[in-house]
Amino acid sequence: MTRGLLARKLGMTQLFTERGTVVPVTVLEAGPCRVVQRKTAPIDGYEAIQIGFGERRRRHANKPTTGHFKRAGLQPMRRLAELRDPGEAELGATLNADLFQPGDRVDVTGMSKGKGFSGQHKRHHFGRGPVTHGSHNIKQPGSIGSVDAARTMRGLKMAGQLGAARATIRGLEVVRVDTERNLLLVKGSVPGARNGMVLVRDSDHEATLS
Amino acid sequence: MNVIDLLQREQEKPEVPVLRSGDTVRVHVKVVEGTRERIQVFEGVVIALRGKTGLGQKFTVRRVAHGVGVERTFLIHSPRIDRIEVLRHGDVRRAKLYYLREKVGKRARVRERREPIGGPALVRTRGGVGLTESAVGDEAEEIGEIGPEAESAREAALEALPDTEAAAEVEGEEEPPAEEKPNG
Repeated sequence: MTRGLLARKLGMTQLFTERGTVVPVTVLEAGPCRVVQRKTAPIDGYEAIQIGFGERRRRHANKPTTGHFKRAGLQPMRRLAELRDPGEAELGATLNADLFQPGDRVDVTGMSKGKGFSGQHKRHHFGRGPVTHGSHNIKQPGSIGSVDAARTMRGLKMAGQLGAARATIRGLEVVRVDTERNLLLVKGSVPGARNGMVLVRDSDHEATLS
Repeated sequence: MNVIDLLQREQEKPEVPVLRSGDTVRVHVKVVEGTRERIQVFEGVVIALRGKTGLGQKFTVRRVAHGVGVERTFLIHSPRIDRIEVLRHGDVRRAKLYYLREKVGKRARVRERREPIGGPALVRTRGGVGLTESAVGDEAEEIGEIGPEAESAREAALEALPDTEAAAEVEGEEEPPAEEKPNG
């Protein structure tokens, strides 16, 4: 079973532990999420739940959308996400930050910050050419293949769009759960800008499974 | 107020001393030895301050122990710090006293400031900067702790303050407490 929540990234700060060391944390407003739909094997071909988070303004919800939420007895929500292998969850049920415990390991998925069309240095950490002695090779990418191949290999690292892509950080530790304010404090950084939506799930990262 | 600020405030100590470069301080640090916890004192000169207010505020203390310079940087709000005593204010002209690292012996001293800038031991609380409650409430006890150089300024401060409540509301850093302010 995989537990999961949609959350809003509020930003980063630091916490003191009891021993006095400092832990960098990302603060996530995790929930309340509602179960919008149950997908079952006979009908949909697989088992999943669809969860929603946030309010969607009425004029941003068309009739089909409104109807979809109405089935679960809910108002239109802002974001939807699907969770495979959901376990027990009633339609319309509320999921909050207390789903997780401190010490749990989670994977956090979100949209990374967009960096636009970036050169090789920034995008793939290429080195640069000599800066002086008449060099004009400072930011050039270098060779893109051999004469023998007579073509450029597919997937060769070049300049292009960086960021604004779905990214997952795996195996982050839940440091604190604030049930009153529905906050999840996760150790380390999380993809995306502040106020961005992220999906927090139980980690399936092998390195963190003991 | 946003959640991040709230989380940070929750961790801040209600009261921390106002430090300045050149101050001689005694930092009481909690040290864990095996299973026992005890308090270790680190005394030296504040050579750098980082951050103005808030959780990330740090200070570096330098002392020369057995001929070896030792510098420790503390987070002022760290739970490992039991207490910070300000013993003396130094007469210094810069914010970072890194030049002390190259000085030995007599040259490595910091002259004492005769008229303390902050007056008697100032503390920073949520409301701003002011005297400790004990400093206003109990005269006799505080004199010993502050040191003789603060005495005259402290007396002046006490005269200017109409009552204890005003003392808590003295705002602004690096100013003589309330002396030039109408009604605190």
